[in-house]
Amino acid sequence: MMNIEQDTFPKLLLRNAQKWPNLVAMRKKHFGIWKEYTWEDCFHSVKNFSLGLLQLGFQRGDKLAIIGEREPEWFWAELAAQAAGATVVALYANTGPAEIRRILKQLPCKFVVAHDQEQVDKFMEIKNEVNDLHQIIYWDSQGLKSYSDECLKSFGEVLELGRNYDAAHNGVFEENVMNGRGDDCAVIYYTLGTAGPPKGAMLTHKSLINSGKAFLESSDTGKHDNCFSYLPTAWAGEGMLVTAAHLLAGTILNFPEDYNTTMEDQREIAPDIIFFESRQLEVLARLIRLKMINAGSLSRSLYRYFMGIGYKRVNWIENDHRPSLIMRVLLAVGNQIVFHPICEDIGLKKCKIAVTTGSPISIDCFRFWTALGIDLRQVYVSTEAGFIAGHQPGKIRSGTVGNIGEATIVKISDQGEILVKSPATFSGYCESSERIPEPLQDGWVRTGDVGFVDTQGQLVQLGLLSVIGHLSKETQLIHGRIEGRLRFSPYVKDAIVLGREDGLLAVIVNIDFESVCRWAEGHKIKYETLADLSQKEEVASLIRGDIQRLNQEISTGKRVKKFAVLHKKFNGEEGELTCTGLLKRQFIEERYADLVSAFQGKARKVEMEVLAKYSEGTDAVAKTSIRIWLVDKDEL
Amino acid sequence: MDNKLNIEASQDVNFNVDNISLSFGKLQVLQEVTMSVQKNEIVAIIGPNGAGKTSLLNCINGFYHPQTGSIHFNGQEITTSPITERARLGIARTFQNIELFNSLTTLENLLAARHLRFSTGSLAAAVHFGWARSEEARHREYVEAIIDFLEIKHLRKKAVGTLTYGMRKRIELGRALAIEPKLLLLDEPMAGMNAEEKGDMVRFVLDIYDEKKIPIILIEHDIGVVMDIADRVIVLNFGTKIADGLPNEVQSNPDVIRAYLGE
Repeated sequence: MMNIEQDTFPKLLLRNAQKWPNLVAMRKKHFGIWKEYTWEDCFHSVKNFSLGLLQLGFQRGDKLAIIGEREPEWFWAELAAQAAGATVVALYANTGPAEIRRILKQLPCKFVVAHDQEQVDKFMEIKNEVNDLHQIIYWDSQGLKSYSDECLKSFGEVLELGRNYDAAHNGVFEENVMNGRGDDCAVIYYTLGTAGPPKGAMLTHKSLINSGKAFLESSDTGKHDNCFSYLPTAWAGEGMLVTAAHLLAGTILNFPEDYNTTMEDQREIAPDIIFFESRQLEVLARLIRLKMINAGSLSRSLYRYFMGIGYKRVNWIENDHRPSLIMRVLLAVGNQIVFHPICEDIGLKKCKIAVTTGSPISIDCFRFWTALGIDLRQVYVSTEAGFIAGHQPGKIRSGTVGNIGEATIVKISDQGEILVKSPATFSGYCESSERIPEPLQDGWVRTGDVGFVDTQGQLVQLGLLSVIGHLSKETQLIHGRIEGRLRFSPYVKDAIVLGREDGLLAVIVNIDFESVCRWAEGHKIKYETLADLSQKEEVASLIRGDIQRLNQEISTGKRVKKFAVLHKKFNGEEGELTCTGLLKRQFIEERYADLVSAFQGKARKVEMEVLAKYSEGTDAVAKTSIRIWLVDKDEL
Repeated sequence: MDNKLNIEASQDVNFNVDNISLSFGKLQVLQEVTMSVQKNEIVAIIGPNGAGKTSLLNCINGFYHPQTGSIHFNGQEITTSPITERARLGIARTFQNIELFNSLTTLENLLAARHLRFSTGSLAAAVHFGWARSEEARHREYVEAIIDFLEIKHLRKKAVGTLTYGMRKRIELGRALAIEPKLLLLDEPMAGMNAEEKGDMVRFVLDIYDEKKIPIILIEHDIGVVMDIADRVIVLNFGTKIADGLPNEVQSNPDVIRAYLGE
C-alpha cells in the first residue's frame, strides 16, 4: 500500500493516515474549545461518510454538490465522494435558488451536501423542478428539527450508516480509493463570471495535485504548519492551493468558530501560513490605517516614523540591497514597537508566509504589508489554467505575480492574453454551448487575462482581456494603478476606471461609508443620509486629493480628469459584484450608462433612477442625483 | 457538528392561575384573573400600560404573592412558594430591565445562572478538583450550547456592561434558558429594538419553542409580533382579564378595542 502512486486526493489521504496517524490534520473551534482531528480521525470520517453515501445509493460516476461555509465537513464530503469514484460540484455559499436550479439542470446531482437550514431551504425550494435529487445531507442541524422530508439526512446519520457497513465489510473503502485514477474528474469549479455567466470547469485529481506541487515548490510549508484560509471553498484556487497543500504536505487546516470570531480565533492559533484573497488584504490594510488615523498622537507619530523605515525595507527586498547597520537597528526597534504589535493584533504574529491570490493586489497594498514585515507572496492561479506563477523566496516584488512555475509554459498572444500550457490545466467546460470559447487547440489554455513577462522574468497580470484588452499596454497599467491606489485610501472601498484609449479617464468611486462617516463627524460635516454624504463637496475634496497625488505619478496624457462618488456601495445582490467581491465591469457600465456618458460631456450632475433590491426580495426605485467633479478645479 | 439545544423535551404542561387578586393597599393591581396553559403554546399577554401584565408575571414567578386565588404548576401548588423553589421547578423569566451582572462576562453570567443545577457546594467548587471540575465542565458545555444557539459566541468573553442593549437582551434570554425551563416567561423581550433586532429575537423565541417544546408566556406591545407568533392572546385592562382567545378573535373584540382606544 505504501508504494501506490498518489495520483488522487483520496489516495493522498490514505497515505497520510498511514504515515502520520496521530498528527493533527484539522482543528475546529466548537463551543469555545479547539477540537482536534488527527489524520486518522479524518480518514475515518471520510471513510464512513463515503460508505454511508454508497449505502444510500450513491454510485461511481455520480455527482455530489456541496454548498456551505468553510468547515471540516466540506472537505470530508469532498474526499468521500471522490473516494467513491464521483465528482464534486462546488457551489458558492451565496448561490441563490435560481442559479442552483440552472446548475442542477445542467449537471444533475443525485446527492447534495448542504451546510445548514439556509442552504437546505434553497434546495427544498427547487427540489421538484430538477431531476434526480435524491438526498440532501446537512451538517448543522439548527432549525432543521421540524423538517420531516424523506430526502433529508444529517451528516451524523450518514456517518453511522457507513460505520455499520464498514464493520461488516472491511476493506471496501480502501479498494474504492485504489480504483481511483489521476485522470478522474475530481471537482467541477465554477468560474467567477466577471466576463459573462459562470462556467463549470472540470478539474482532475492530477491537475489539482500538479497545481499544489507547483505551489509547494516555492512555499515551504509542512505537516507542523498551521494554516488559515480565507479563500472560498467553492473557488478553484482553494482546491489547487489549500486542499492540495494540506494533502500533499500535511499542513494543518484551522477552522474558526464563527464569522464574527475569526479575528480572535486567528489570534489564538497564530497560523504559519495564511491564504488571503487580495481584496481581503486590502480591506485589512484599510482597517489598520483607519485605526492609526484615529489613534493617539504618540502612536500616530511612532507609526508614521517607523512605517517610513518599513517602506525602505520594501526597496531593499526588491532591489536586493543590504541595509546599513543603523537601518537594521531601527528596523529591529520598529519591529518591537510598531510592527509586531500590529501583526499580533490581527493574528499575523507567527505568519511565515502570507499568500495573496485571486485578483492581483494593488502595489500600494503589497508594499504596505511588506513594510509591516509580513512575507507576502502573490500567487497567480486560474480556474482553467491551474497554478501559473507565484513569488519565490528572495524574488518578491510588488507589481508582479511572481515567477512562472517550473512545469508551466506561458505565451502571450497577439492580443496580449496570457496563454498557459501545463500539467495543471483543466479538462474543459461542462457547458457545451458554442458561445463559450473552448481552450485553444494544441493544449494552450486561455486565461482571459492580459499581461506580460517583465525584464526579470516575472509575470505581470494586468486585468481582464474583455475589459482592457483593447487599450494599449501603458493604459492597461494605468487602469490597474489608479484603481489600486484609490482602493488603498482608507476612505475608498472600490473604484472603477472608465476610459477609452483616446478619451478622458474618469473614475466612479465607492466610498467606505463607515470611515467617511467617522471623518465627517470629526470635521463637523452635517448630512442627512449616506447618499447625501456621498455628494458633499467636502467628501469630493477628500477623494480629489488622492486622485491629484496619483495624477502626479502618471504621464500627462493619461490623467484622471473627472470623478463621481456613488451614492451607495457596489452590491453583490444587485449583480454588481461577483461572489468574491470583484467588480462586474460590463454590468456596472451598462447599469450606470447615464453616468458614463455624462463623463464625456460637460454635465456637472446626473439624475439617476436605479433599481434597488432589498434582501427580503422586494424592489424599489431610487431616484438620486450624482455630481460629477473635476480633478483639476481650474479646468472647466 | 450538531448544535441543537441540549435539553430534553418536556411533556405536556399543566399550569393554572385560578382567580388571583393582588392589591397593594388600596391599589387593586389584579382582580380575579384566571388563565391556564395546558399544552405547548405561545401565549401573549397584552394590554395598555398599567394593566397588570408584569404584576401577573411577578405572581407566577414568585415576586408577588396574591392575596386570594391560587397558582398550580404540574400538580403542585406554588401560590406562596419561594422564587427559588419555582425556579427549581422550571419556571424561568426574563426581565424588562435586564438583570445581568454588568461586570461579569457573558459566559460568567450564564454559568452563574446554572448555579441552581450545580450539585457540588461552594467549598468543593473553591478547591476545583475532581467531581467539582467535571461538573463545571458539563455545565460549561450546556452553557456553550446556549451561546451557540443565540449566536453570541463573539461576546463570550466580553463584559456584559459594555455590550449593546440588543445583545444584552439576548443574553438575558440565555440566562433564562440556562436553568432548563419548563415554562418560559418573557417580559417584553422585544422592547427597545429596531426592526432587524426584533426579527432576530422573534426567530430565537420561535426556535426555542420548536426545539424545547415548552409553553412560552410573553408580554408584548408590538401587535404585529403578537399576531404573527402567538397561538393565544390574553388581554388585561385595569387588572382584569377582558379577552382570552385566538389572535384574530381578540383583535376584533370590541372590549379590547375600547380598552386601547378609550370610550
